[in-house]
Amino acid sequence: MNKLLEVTDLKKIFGGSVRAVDGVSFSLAERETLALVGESGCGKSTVSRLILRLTNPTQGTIRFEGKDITRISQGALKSIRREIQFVFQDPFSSLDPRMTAGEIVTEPLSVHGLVRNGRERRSTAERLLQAVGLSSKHVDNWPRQFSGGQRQRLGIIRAFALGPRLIVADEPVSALDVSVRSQVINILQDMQEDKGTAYLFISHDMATVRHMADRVAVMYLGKIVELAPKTSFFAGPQHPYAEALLSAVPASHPSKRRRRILLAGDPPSPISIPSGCRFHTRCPIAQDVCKSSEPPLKPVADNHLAACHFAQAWPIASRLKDVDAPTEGGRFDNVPGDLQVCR
Amino acid sequence: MLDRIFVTFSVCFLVLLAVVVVFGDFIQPHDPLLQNFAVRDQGPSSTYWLGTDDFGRDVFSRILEGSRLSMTVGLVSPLIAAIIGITMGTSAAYFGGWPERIVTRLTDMMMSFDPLLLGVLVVALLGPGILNLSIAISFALIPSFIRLSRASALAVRQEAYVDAAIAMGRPSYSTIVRHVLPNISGPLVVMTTLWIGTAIRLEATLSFIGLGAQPPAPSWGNIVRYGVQNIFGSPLPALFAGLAITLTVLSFNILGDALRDRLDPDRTVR
Amino acid sequence: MSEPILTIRDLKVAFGPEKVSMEALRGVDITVRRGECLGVVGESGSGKSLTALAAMRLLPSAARITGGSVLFKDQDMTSLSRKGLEQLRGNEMSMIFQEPMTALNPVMRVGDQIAAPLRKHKGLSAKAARARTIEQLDSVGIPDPHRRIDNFPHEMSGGMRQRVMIAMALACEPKLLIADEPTTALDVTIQAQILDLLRAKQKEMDLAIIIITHDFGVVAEIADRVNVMYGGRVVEEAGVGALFDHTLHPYSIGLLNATPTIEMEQQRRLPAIGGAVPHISEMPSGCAFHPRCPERRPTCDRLVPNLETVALDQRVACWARSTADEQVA
Repeated sequence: MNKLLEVTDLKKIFGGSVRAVDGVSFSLAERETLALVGESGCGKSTVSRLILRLTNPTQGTIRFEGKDITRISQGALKSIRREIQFVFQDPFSSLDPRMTAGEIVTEPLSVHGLVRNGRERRSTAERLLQAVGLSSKHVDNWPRQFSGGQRQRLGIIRAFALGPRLIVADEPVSALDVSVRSQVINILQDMQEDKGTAYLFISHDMATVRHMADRVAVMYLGKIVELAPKTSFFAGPQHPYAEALLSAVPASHPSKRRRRILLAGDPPSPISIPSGCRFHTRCPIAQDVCKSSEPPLKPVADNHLAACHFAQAWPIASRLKDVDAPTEGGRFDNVPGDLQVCR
Repeated sequence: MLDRIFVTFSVCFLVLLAVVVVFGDFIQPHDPLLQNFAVRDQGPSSTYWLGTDDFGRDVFSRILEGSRLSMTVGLVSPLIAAIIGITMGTSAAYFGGWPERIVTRLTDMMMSFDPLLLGVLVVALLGPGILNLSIAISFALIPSFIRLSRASALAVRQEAYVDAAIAMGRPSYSTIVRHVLPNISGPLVVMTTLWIGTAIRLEATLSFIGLGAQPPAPSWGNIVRYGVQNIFGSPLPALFAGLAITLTVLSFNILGDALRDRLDPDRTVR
Repeated sequence: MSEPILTIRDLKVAFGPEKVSMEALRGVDITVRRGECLGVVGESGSGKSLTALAAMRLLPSAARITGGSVLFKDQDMTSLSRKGLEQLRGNEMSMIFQEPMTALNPVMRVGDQIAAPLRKHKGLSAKAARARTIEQLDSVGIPDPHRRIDNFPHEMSGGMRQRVMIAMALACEPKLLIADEPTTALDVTIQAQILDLLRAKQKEMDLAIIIITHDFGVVAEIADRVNVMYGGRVVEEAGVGALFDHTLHPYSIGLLNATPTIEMEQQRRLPAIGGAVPHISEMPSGCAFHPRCPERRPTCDRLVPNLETVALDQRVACWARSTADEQVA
């Protein structure tokens, strides 16, 4: 497969001490969807901003179609920007309230000088609106006249207007109502099938990721701790954090209320990242070696990488002694290394 | 309801004023500079509607003529201040870094002077006269434009649509013009309107103390100045010129308040 | 089945002045029983949060109750005096919100915020209240409560703040807790902790919980019974098992199908509900869901369906499921 995007050892340090992204490497093939998952503060959004060159990396390289775009100037970047587009999370703040729907969806075209006059712009706008199921008579409407779902459609069609090879989608559906969310997910998938675009899909929602992604990368405190094809990942995550993340997803049916791996406390701050394995302070299976040496991201199965000293081909739950604590209400003041499995 | 009546009156008054400024030559019943010692210090009559001053000049014509200078200074200085201030403020907010720090410090320094004092200072340096007066007033108003536009632009800079514009390849100046400026225009329009009133007042004040328009050219400020010197001869010039200043400043303030209510995004959705 | 603790009957709430008012709640019926967890599910604009606020008599000033009743035990909340309300709120019924940062006072130590209802309602001395507060913090799983009691809200993480909110809400041992999207702003692993905590408290204190959410996952995790709301009404009410296995209302069916699940195998398209949630100013006539409903009938745009009992512990408001539609049509 051709590598469309290749990120190597990317780092972003804010204000000298906040290690938001702390050495991230991955690649993305053409037409592929890579989901970047993790909790708030894990650095996944910063990765998206780095790839879009909205902020400059402290270290590392970003290659697009083999070309190093890490440090090229904004001017030289302009032609690359035609190939890399984006969909943002908030359908309200990502559209300029002082532009009409038509102006919004054709903005990328006019920035790159691809529409010659107002008439052409208007007819293009109408065509684009129809492509995402909006009426062409909405072309002169203001963003505030659209619902959240409709606005996100505007955001999506704006991203596709230039026919990019890669779209960075940062939580594109998480601000939407459930009934509208599925419409937008379908549009994202239809457009991808149609245009053969690759997605870097940033999300915290495992269910949506399972539906959308080809591969999954799990981030924790600025680093990728697991990177695997979707089927292999959901069949058996290898990193304890990835497994905890999966087990924390609410049940899809009341009969499936299940044992879950409760993590102790909150993630540490990216200002003081723990020594050794950065997950050891919350890890249910941490050993002494985890405190001192940082595990590299290494293959544990076909194309399945995990950064854990104890990554094995069996689920963590079976490696743990069960702790019965139903009445304690998921307390988390236990010592690290100890674990509760609660119903 | 009462608000609307006030706003209507203000707008009518300002339209009338605009007509006077533009078509003054055709409206003035007498030459505002023509001295006629036969008719010094007269009261209102059918020939001299608002009486005459101590040189026998028609007060009505002089106030009409004076409106031109006052309004020119009143409009031009805030506009110059707005252009310079908004450019500096939005650029500082958009690009950040050391230019922003310099602009902010400079603004803080200028803000610590009273606008009137700053005006006096500039005129004292450059010498009196209408051009220098305009420069002085613009200079005094620039910091508040920098401050407001920088604060508003900083907020807009955080919006995702600005990131969106950058990510689609829009150059910086174009992003500022197309996305930042339209979204901060509301409060800036309001402020410009309010500062027009202030500029007119400043012009009057500076002319009153002799730093503005030089006689014999009339401006509202110096009509009041010489009217007060001759207040026992005839109080009418000072009275009517003062009234013109008051009404104009009041009208711009009412208009500014009305615009604020209209443009405030939180109040448009009703 | 235990006795009802909160009974909302035909509750109507409108926004705006009399003449141009918009009805946001259009006859809501909800019953919560002692010790049970009731899930109220709906999308934005369904009226689920407004129902909670109306039940606490905490409506925003633009909204007013125009009909119906809210019975807490045997007192009608809609006619209670301010003093009577203050006696109940924070004492016998309390509420937690989506964003604990805005619900907590940022310039007050969390300990003082938890102690306030204890001193007010239980008449405890400052010392006794502090001791009780430490116990309370400990019981919601805050590590090192002796130290944490003097923290300010900004010194805590989001999950910790939500625990503080829960400690505060449960300080006076209320019988009813209304939780408005308590986990929406939190990460999944923290959400799991908070849901576990709520479940434990429900058992431990025989506490009735109304959990308001847009997420069927939260419902599946914690609720005993569920009310599905749409357009300012309850459209389906069922035990949680029945709702997932024997879904009746077309809207509930649509919502459940549209929710991607973690177990779901590769499936190309998600079944979506067409259209969007209507705004309260343009609520469709008849059944509010009819413009988006795949099972629409001629009756649906004319008459509002009422909740009808169709099975033990399951009621639905839908003409397509009604036994009476022949007579009406």
